[in-house]
Amino acid sequence: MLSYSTSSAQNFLYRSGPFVVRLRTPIKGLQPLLRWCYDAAEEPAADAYVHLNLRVDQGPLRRRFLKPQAVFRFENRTPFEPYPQNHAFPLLEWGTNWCIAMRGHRFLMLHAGVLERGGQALILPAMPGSGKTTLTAALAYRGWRFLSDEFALIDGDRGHVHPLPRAAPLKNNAIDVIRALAPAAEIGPVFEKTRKGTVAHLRPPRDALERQHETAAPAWIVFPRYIAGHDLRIGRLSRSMAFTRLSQNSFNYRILGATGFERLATLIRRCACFSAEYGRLDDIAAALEGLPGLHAP
Amino acid sequence: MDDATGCNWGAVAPSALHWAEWDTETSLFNADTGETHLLSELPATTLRLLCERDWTFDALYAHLASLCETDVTPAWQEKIAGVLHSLEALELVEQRAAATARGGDGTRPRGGTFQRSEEHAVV
Amino acid sequence: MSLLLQIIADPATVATLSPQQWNVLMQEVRGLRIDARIGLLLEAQGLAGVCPADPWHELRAQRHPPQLVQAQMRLELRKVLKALAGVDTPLLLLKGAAYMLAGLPVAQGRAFTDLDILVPRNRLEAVEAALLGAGWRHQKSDDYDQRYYRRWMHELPPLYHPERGIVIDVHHSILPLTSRVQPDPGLLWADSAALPGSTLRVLSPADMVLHSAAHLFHDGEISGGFGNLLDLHLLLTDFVRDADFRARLPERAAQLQLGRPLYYALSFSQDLCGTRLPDALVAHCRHFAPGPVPGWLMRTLVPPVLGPRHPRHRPAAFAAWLLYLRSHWLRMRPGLLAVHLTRKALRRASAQP
Repeated sequence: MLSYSTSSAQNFLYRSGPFVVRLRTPIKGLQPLLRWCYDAAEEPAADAYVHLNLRVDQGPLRRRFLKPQAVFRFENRTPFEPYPQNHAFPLLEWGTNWCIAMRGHRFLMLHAGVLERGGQALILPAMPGSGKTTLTAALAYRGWRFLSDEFALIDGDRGHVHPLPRAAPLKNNAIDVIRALAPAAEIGPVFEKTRKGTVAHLRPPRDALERQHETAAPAWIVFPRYIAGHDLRIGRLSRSMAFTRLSQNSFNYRILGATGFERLATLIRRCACFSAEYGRLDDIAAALEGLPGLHAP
Repeated sequence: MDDATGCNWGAVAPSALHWAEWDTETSLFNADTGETHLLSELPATTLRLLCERDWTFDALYAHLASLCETDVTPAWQEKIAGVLHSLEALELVEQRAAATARGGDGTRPRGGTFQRSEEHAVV
Repeated sequence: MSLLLQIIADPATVATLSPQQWNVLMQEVRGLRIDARIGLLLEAQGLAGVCPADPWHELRAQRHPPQLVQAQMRLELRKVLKALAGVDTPLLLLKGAAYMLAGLPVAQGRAFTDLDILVPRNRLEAVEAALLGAGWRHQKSDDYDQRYYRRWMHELPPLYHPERGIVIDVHHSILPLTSRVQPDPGLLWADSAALPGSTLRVLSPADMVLHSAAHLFHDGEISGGFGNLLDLHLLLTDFVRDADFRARLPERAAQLQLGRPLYYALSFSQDLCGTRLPDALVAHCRHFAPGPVPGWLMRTLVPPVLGPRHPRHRPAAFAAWLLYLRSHWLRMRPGLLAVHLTRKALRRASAQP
């Protein structure tokens, strides 16, 4: 990460997956968390092409002493209401995700967690109630490389998935679940009473950041559904169902028009598609070890 | 039934359609409208026929009956009429006056081909 | 001078840009949301190959949103035609929809938010009734706004269909009834042309330019109008190759009483976008120029507001406010203006938490 300060603000230049971000902020509390999250990634050149120009500013002057605020800005827009200043980091993360969803049309962007093993990608679409983030986080410490907890970026060249390893927001119970399941996981400070409840971020594992330029060929799509106490059920899903569900679970399928249609159809054709219901992370993690072709030489 | 003979059914914009065939269903994208549809076998087959050329209602249900190895009954006719109206509501097919139809009943010709801006290559 | 304006005036300049300059240019482009238009403009000039990979990927990827918008508009038009099949009225498309269906270069990568349709004044009620009957609804429900639109504006209150949400503006003339200038709609219809293979009509090229100029410099709010200026630049660049157009444009401006907006359109398009206009045409339009004081005011106020803003400069807020007032002044008789602006301000204030 490159950084430099002016009298009023700090400037950062860092890479997040295929995107180079320039961030300017006077909020001092952001710097340590930014470094913690993104320092391990390869540093962009000083004149690198910047995809996202972001600012996290302080709120209006009159509020600075009683209840200071943070305001997220993207190019010349202010897309969100202010957050309390001590929630500046979650604001930055969610804001960045929003910007990627609005601008990343070079890719077909699916709302999904993604992991890689042996050069092949496992896509976990984020249907409601899927527990996708917790599952993705858990698998990242079970022999899978973490590509993303939120975006499956499918390119137009070879239909590969591009990593976008970002801080994964764990909500409420998931924080403790991951702490217990993966002692090696590095979890950041807890932010209480955010708009999404209590949130703490899982730092992307080191190798996820170091290898974030390595794409993966999609091989499996598993639609997970978490039901507490449920026994594991995993079975094949029809391609027409997988296509339809994914088309509705994408950030930009509609916007991409014919390109989106063809790219999604190709993806479905090359992947084995499943749906799974699970009540225990151990069960589904073990089942995923049995995915066809996973341990092929 | 308003599917009078003398009216042809045809696809609105066959060249704008993208197809992805699965086992028993077909996903369809219409570049003209930006809409994606999921069609079961009968509507998909019907649409394919209408993309090849225009059909009268009578010829269409007869041909589909033979493809599906079923008899032509009033129930079958109604079924095909239903399929056609569903596809019409999705702007995939339309009724066009046949060449031999009577002229001018006061309504303007429906549809009509628009000169489209240059299509860009699929990225 | 803004990099973006340099590129529009002379697209080949992209070959000389440094990486830092590309970053600045893309910020301007993103800020004005004209990524698709600029990318297509560069491609049309054969310059795709000289752009570095990263910005080129982004410019190309950003073509998709306007393509979706255009597809949705085509669908909406089909639905409108079906709904109006029983109404005996000609239909004329204005602005974005017209450019799109006529296949004009200005339509490349151009998104637009509303469908603008012109009908004869005596057909307004029948058209409105047919659309309402087919499921469209009024957008503005406040009584005052409804009266404002019907009585003083040049259109029905906006309509939208709940299943699709696209707004339709049905006009009967191109400037509000309250404005000091009243281009005769009959003249517009007389010069209009049908689109090939369709019953839909569009304005003549000269009238398209005059309408766009009137929208930007007469009744529209100038702030945020760079896209409209780009429209003018692209329309003029395309049409000015035709001798008939060059002869017709000043004649028509006089006929429709739109000489002043035309003058501004030509001046600012030349000054800001580098539009190449034949000297003869410019000379023919010189007599439309304003007196020295309004001329100076416009030359001072308009460029900072209309031109792309460098990322580090603050918006030209005061100039924008003056121009907003001017647009309303042109739009409404003075007494009405005060009432309307007060109501708008009150509504905005009450909408804030």
